[in-house]
Amino acid sequence: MRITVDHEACDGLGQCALVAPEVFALDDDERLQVASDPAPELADKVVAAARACPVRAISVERA
Amino acid sequence: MSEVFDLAELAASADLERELGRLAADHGIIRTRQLNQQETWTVLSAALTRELLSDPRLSNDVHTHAPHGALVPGLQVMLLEQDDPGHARYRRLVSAAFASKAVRQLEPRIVEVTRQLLEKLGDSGTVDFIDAFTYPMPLEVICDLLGVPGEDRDPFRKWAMDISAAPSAEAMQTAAGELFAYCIGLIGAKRERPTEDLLGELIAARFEDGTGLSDEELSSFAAVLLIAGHDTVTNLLANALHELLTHPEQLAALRADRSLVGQAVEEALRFRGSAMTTVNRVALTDIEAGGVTIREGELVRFLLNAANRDAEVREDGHTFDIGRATARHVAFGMGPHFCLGQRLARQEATIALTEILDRFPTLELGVPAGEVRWLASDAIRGLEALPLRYARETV
Ligand code: SF4
Repeated sequence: MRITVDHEACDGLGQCALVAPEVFALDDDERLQVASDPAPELADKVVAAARACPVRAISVERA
Repeated sequence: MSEVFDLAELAASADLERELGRLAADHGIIRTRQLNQQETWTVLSAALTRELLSDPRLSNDVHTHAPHGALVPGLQVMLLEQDDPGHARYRRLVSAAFASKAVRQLEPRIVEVTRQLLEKLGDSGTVDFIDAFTYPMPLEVICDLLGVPGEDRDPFRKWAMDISAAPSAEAMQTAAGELFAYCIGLIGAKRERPTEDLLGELIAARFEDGTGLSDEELSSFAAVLLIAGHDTVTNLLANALHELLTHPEQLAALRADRSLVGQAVEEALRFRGSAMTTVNRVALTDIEAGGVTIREGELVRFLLNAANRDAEVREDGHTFDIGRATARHVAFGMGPHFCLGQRLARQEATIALTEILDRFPTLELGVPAGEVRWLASDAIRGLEALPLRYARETV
């Protein structure tokens, strides 16, 4: 699965991190950190996290 | 379960949240009747709230999918009643103004407005704090931010009250119509004479394809912000003060360690958030949830105050405790429509509480606890008035 984040658009709200904390986290500067190689079984959660983002900053391509 | 609850009726009781907690233990979702007599599903449990608020089968576009469900026609066309991709496209255009950097820049002005209003109170007395402070403070801030001229700000309280805590659907629609008309006029004036406030910026803003926002979109956005941007904060502040004053040990803890103010704001949001319910969603297809079937076309709303007390998430949900380690509440919603203004609301509440405690070492309820009256609203959780006795020095 390939996860791309548009950091320009990302507003540091952490909605994605609420849905898929295994994959998304905000650092102290509200910058979004993405796990580099998430386990394939997390794919559904990652898609749900992308959907939860208010500004659509995350796109996911399933492998 | 076939009982239909009237949230506005329940809300008039201070015990609403406990009542909801009991209901939530038995049903994750109930039937409720809203102001215009429409029946809706209302989600109570934390688990269903988290799940369904990001579920694309529930649409915010009540306008298109359930026009009968739009409480305030014409007012909510822009952010609230849009789905992706349109919603995200709008949201990206306006979100910069509410990002953390932009909101931090508003801090000096919020402090100034806060101090001016507190100054007017004098050194001691008893006043309705909603009238004297928690209503005018956020109104000044949101009007400044948008660029509403000072002399125009008077009718806003009535509009805001009539829209969010309306006695009837007609009163709500009349107020919304007046507010919308005012905003159309304001946008027109700003198109002729550009200004550097948020509305001025949005008039000039362009999407990637070079198009801008129409007068209708801009006005709808302005109207939504004016209502959402101050009524919620007014009641959040009043509820927070009420909670602190009726839990003296919590107030003492906060006075002793002022770094807890952020946590006190979060706990106030969790314990009795002012945005009690979300706007309506509409089911785009039949949805099985919490043991019921939500039929296509039916309305669904979320009772955030119930989810935040759900015993499945916190056993002691009915205890007001500012010492909680940042409990994850849903007072600002979740998912694509997560409150755009949450940073501003948090900052206003933090500054206001700090300044009030600084200024008044003595602060107490001006009526016996239990005699305050709650608004009978199915949308906003708040007090009709908050009489406070205050003194600069302890006498
Ligand atoms: S939900 Fe969207 S805006 Fe928020 S942190 Fe995640 S990517 Fe950024």
